[in-house]
Amino acid sequence: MNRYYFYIVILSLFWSCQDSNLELDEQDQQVVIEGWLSDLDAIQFVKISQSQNFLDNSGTIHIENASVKIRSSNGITVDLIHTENGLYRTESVYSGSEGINYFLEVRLADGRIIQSSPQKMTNAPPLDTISYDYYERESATNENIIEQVFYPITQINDNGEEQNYYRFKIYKNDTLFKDSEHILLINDQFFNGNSPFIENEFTSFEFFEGDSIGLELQEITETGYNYLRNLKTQTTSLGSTSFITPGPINGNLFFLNSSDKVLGFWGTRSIKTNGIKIIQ
Amino acid sequence: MVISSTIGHAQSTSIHVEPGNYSLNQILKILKKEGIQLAYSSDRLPDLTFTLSEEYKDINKLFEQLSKESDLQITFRGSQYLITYPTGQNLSIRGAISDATSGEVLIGAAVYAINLESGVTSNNYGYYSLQLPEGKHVLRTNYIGYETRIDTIVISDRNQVRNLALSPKTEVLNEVVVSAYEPDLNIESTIPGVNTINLNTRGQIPYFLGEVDVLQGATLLPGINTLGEDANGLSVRGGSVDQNLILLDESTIYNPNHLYGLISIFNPEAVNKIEIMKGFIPPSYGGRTSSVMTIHQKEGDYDSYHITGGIGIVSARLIAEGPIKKDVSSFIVSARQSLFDLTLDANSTNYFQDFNAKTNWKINPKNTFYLSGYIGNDRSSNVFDTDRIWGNRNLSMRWNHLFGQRVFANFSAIYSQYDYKITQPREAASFIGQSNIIDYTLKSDWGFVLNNHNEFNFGGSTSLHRLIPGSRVPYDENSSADTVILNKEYGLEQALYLSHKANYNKVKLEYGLRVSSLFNVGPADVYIYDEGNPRTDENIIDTVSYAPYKLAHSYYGFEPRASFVYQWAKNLSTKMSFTRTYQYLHLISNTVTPTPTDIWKLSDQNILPTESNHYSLGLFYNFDDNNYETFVDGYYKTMTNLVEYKNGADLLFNENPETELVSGEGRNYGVEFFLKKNKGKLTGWTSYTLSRSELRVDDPFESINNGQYFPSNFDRKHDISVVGVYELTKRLYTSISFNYNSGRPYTRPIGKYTYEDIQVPRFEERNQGRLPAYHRMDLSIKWHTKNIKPDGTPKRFNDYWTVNIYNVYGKKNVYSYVFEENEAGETEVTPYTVIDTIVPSLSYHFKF
Repeated sequence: MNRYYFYIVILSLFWSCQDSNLELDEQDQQVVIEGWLSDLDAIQFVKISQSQNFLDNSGTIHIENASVKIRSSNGITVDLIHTENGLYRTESVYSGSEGINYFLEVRLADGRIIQSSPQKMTNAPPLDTISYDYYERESATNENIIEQVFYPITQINDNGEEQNYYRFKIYKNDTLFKDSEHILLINDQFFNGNSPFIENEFTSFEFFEGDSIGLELQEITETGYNYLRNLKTQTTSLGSTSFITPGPINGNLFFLNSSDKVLGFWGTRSIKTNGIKIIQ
Repeated sequence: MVISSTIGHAQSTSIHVEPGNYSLNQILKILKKEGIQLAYSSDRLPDLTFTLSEEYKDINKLFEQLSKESDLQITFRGSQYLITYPTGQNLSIRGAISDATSGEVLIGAAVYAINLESGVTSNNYGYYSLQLPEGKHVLRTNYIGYETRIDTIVISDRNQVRNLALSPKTEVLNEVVVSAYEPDLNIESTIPGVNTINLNTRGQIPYFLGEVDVLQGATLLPGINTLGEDANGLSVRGGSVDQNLILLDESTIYNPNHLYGLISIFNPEAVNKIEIMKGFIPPSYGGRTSSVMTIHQKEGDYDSYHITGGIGIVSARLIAEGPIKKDVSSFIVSARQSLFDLTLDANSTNYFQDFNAKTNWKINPKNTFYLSGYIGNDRSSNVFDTDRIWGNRNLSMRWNHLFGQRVFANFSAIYSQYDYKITQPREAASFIGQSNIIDYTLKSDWGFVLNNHNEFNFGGSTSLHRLIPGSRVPYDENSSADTVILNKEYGLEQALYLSHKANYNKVKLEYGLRVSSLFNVGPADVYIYDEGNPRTDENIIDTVSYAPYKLAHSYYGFEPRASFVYQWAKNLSTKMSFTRTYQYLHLISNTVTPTPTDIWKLSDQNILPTESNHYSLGLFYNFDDNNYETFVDGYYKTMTNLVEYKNGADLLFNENPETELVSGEGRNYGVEFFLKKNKGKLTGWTSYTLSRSELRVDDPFESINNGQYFPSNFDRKHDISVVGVYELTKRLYTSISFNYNSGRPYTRPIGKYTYEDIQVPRFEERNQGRLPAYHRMDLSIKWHTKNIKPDGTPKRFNDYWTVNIYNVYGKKNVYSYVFEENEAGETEVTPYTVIDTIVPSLSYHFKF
């Protein structure tokens, strides 16, 4: 009898510890702002949306009736108008100027005002050299085939008088590698101002013969760099064996007249681009 | 022998005592009736019996006869006879207790004088000292896994040394985990919550991939846990991984794992025992707030040469041992090398190796010298030539000396180091990066046995910690990388302690004080932050530089410790304890489980030492002639100045990591239930722990979870372990282990948003979700080949096979959740499992 009782206890343990469905709380939605003012003569964009419940796959909710302005330390104000799906744009081409501080101001329809911290426009170094190299590996589909995997290499001059924060965007045949693990961030902590160049091997980007490589160098602010660093770690390493503790990603936007939080980041970026086609 | 010779001073008095057998008590009663005035303390006189062959009429003649037959001392004082027995002669016997075949000292073996019902256990160096009155005594010496030894000894000398060697049992029971060395010791021991895992066993509990692993075995004990299969380190009673002091032959091990946590660094061929003190920590230990784990490297055989080896899926192991000078000195060297790359990353390879060595010289019965060392490495290389290597290096020299008959002393000089090195030769900014921590320690521990009831222990230690949190140098002259070296840290951590152990019939008591200190010394640059503002780079108002050896800052801590045992009966006791500890070294990590790259940091102006106060109360009961051991042990522990990290902390190569850290407090409490069966064909144990582990960070600038208590990563409400080893035949054993844990907390997203077309989970408060419960069953079969020759003599060559089946029913235990986007752009929650299938393994072991 005792033995049967033991089995029942053990069985009930298994029964009680079946994986339960994940319960995720319903939460208030928060305003999300995304935008980067560049130093290229271009239409500048800001995107405004709302956060959602985690498992809500009904699509992003956009905020379409806000008043959006870019202001600068030298007194210039640029209005942005809504186009569609929460996307706001400058009416004409506009570019930020080196050394000027800019900030974003957003007035929501309910009267709440959002402002960003000031962001200084920098001047990214030239992206003159671009090349590629390759390594060989077994093909994933046929282990008898050794394939050549190409990756881009570039060199840039780093300004030794200040700390610089860079972001690279990489395009394969004009398509951006846009997953969060492809957010490529480099600062000059370990090679500040070294001449002539720093070199970056982008070995985690795979290209094959015939592909064209597009490279975009952005110089951004320290706060922008830290935001993207945090965004990357919070969206790539979660769940791996040595994952960063999940936590809020603090941006640079806040309400002037409300205690609510604003998600996202608005910053400035100085951009240089270059490209090459892989021909053996 | 002490013979009274002073009786003649008394006047002769006539008495009448008939011939016959009398107890001493009966004789004294008769004499009292006869009107003789006697003075004695009945509880100090032994139960003696005398055979009187003639009639006694003269008291002096009778007393002469009694003195001749015993050690009674009878003197005439004033108008009465004073009768005493020489119990306070303070003679003692002492020596070392060792394995009769290998000569290795045995720690915690019991020596017991049966006639006096009094005994002691050998100390951490295998020495014992037992106070005995002059005369003949019967000594019983026992230790689990060894034949009990009975000696009749005659104590006649003040300075008697007797080394006791025990023979291993030929048919050893399944002492898989030992919580007591001799019957009832777990009832009497003043250290509640001490658990020992002994690897010298015939049966074997199942281990992952068949690799015997002391740390994995420890997780089956109550109150000890890990985060999962490949998580580094152990959590003891809800504490974090860096709160355990792990000592390999007294040398600190900073990273006890290989392969990112898959197995421990302790080569099962090189170590024989791990002892985990998770409740009361004696004053001789300190520096960590959760537990002390002491691991002893095996000693080489003093008598003959042996080669031992083994091979399994994880590693191949080889050990050589033997005498350098027979019965005087020995050596043992062992090596372990991983065989296969067990990680699944196609772009990288991972290997590890260990090397252990130890040598001992028994210079004379009063002096023994030990030298032991360990070197271990993990190496990970990828296809882009990036090479990472990390590991521990340890060396300890110890000298044990006996001063006089009751003072034991140990002197140690210890070196320990943990290194991490990365070489990245491919980039133009190619570099070599390094971080390490080195300790140089001198310590001395003394034991003074006042008598069989009172023992004093005292000593001190000083450690120089040298920490290099990070350095990066160019790989070669073509590299465009700068040389960046973060400030080194130097700290002198010192401690003095004194404790008293009292051991009476019903009451055992151990209490003492440890005074610890940390001196931060130069060279150092200390950042001063603007008070009243958050600790950030922008709020640094001054930097104070200290020259080499200049004192930059200091901390002192008084650490009272006390443990009280009341023995209601021989097999039933209540234990209460209090332990305060200070921790001056902290592992700085912002990941859920520590990684090899995490650095250690000393307490300094900005980071206070962690203080822990640990209370425990337990009931211990053995029954069925020690076949079963049980206990219920409750604990409550508070901690202040815990080092926590801010959300989004960037700790990589950070010059002032204190800007990313905040101070927290914690409380861990729970109750552990334990039942163990020691004898018979079926042995094993079951344990259940009900516990909580909570943290609070209420910082004016950086509160976590609004300054409220939240569950720590190690909060597991229920923890059940069942372990059974069954002896099918004398050579065939099977064993089973089952482990059930409540799911650990995790931080769940409370929403999501889109940024640059990336779905970003929105997290706010830490650890508000709970993973599903973890459970797993493992099986093992151990088969010893025939080790007896046809003529009945034992073979020199011994070997055995083990088959392990890990995760018998293939449970996909959820290690964490991954929040990701599927191809349709929808967010999904995917459970992440480390080992999601049955893992069988086979290993082979031999010795000759």
